Amino acid sequence: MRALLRGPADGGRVIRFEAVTKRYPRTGAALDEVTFHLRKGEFAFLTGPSGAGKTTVLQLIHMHTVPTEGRVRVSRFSSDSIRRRDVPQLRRRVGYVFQDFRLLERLTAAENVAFVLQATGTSPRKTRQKVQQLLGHVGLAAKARSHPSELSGGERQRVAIARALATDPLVLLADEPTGNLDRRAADGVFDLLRRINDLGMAVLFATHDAELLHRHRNVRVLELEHGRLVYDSAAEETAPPPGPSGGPSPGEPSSDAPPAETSAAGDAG
Amino acid sequence: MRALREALASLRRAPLLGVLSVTSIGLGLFILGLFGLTAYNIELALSHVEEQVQVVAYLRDGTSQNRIDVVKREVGSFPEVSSVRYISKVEALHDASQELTEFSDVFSNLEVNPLPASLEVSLAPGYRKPEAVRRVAERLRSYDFVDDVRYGRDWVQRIFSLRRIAGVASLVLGGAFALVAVLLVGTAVRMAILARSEEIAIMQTIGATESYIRRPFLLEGLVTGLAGGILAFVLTWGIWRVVNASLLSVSWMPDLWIVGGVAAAAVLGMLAAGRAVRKELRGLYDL
Repeated sequence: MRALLRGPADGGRVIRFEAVTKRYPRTGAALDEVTFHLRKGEFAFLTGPSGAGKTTVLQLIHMHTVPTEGRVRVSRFSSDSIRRRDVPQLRRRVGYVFQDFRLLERLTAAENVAFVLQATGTSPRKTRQKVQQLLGHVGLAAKARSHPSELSGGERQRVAIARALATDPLVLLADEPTGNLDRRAADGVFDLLRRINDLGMAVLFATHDAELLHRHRNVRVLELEHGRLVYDSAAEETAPPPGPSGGPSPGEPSSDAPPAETSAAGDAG
Repeated sequence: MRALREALASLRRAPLLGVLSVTSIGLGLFILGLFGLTAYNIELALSHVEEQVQVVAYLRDGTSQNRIDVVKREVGSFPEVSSVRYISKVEALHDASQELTEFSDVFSNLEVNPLPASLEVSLAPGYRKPEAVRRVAERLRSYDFVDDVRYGRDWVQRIFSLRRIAGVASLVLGGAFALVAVLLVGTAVRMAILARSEEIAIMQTIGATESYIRRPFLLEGLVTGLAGGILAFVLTWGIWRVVNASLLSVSWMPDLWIVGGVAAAAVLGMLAAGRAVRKELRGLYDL
């Protein structure tokens, strides 16, 4: 897995939100001057009640939408300069896991993962190897030929995670990935995401599962309320690391330091 | 290859949707095909009638053969004229006795042939219009050895009006049927793509390029359109066979029309698919 991960992003920061405001024409403000950043290898919970703006944050990172004001930077991509044809490249650097899995029912677990690799131009031989590797990593090697309908919720989410990892992203966005799962399966998915994070991939885990947050109090928490970032546990600490397995490497600037960059920096890989 | 495999797999996966799409495209084009068949036969009939448009110049008795030959060549070189036929007095009498058999006794007992020699002038396609016919008649009348010129002015005028009506009707009805066919193709293909909008969204989420996403759908649209076009051809041909065998003799359309129609259906299917996927993709972005 470690070999799948690419080099560090600009200044170690994979994601930067710079005073981001997002207003929708009909529903009004979804985010209001949100500023934070996420470093390579960092794990953070993004929390807040329904409608607080969690999904909007993830969609902005995925460049599904762009800020009304401010700027989002993901690796070398910047929301104020990205062209539509560059979006697929960005999305290969940002894995996305959904609450409802979004697997193609007609494909097997292996095919769901292979589908991504084919779509991104990987050779058939390499695809086979990588699918095996990824399914092994999420503990589903034995169920490669099962269709999603034959898998439990937790297993489906694992397939979705394997799929999200297929393009060797720098960061994994998980939008309420345990929302449809029972406690045991949810814990399993959380543990899997932590293991992936241990290998150096940044993870932004959107959830409003209070029990999960309570049990993992050492994880960085970004809390949104009515579109405002009302709490960032990393900001309260005087020294890094902000998360359990992330945090800046020695010699790197603190993740708490305000973003000094104003232009898109070089690609992470 | 991947796109072709995907396109065929998609048709295999949802055969009912595929059949529905092909059927609705086929029926839409079938209507257009029937209209084409009708329009083509009306056109043929009108052209046939128009070919009969002739200007006949009756010549004075005693005109020298030399003179007639010169004028025949001269008239034959008019742009409006396709052919000139000289009918001598003897031929005219012979033709008359053949055509009017009930008067054959009268014709055989004649001491003097009363029928004049004539020049039968046929007009070239594109000049079988009242104005051109009148112009040719006037020029023939200007020769001093021409006694009279006949060309059935009212008849020419009527054919001309009929052709204009048929032309306008073809344009309006043909346009309407073509529009219906285009809408049917567009709707059928869009339905098939809507059924797979989730797949498009997933592909787009995982970083597939738009052209990668679009390709199999374009091919699927092409195959669906082609199949619909072939179905329409088979249905139209079937109806033509039945009508020809039991009702009236109807000509089949030129091959170019058939090939053009089926190819247009295929291209239309592809364009409709391209448009539908573009719409689908646009809905997924806010950039």
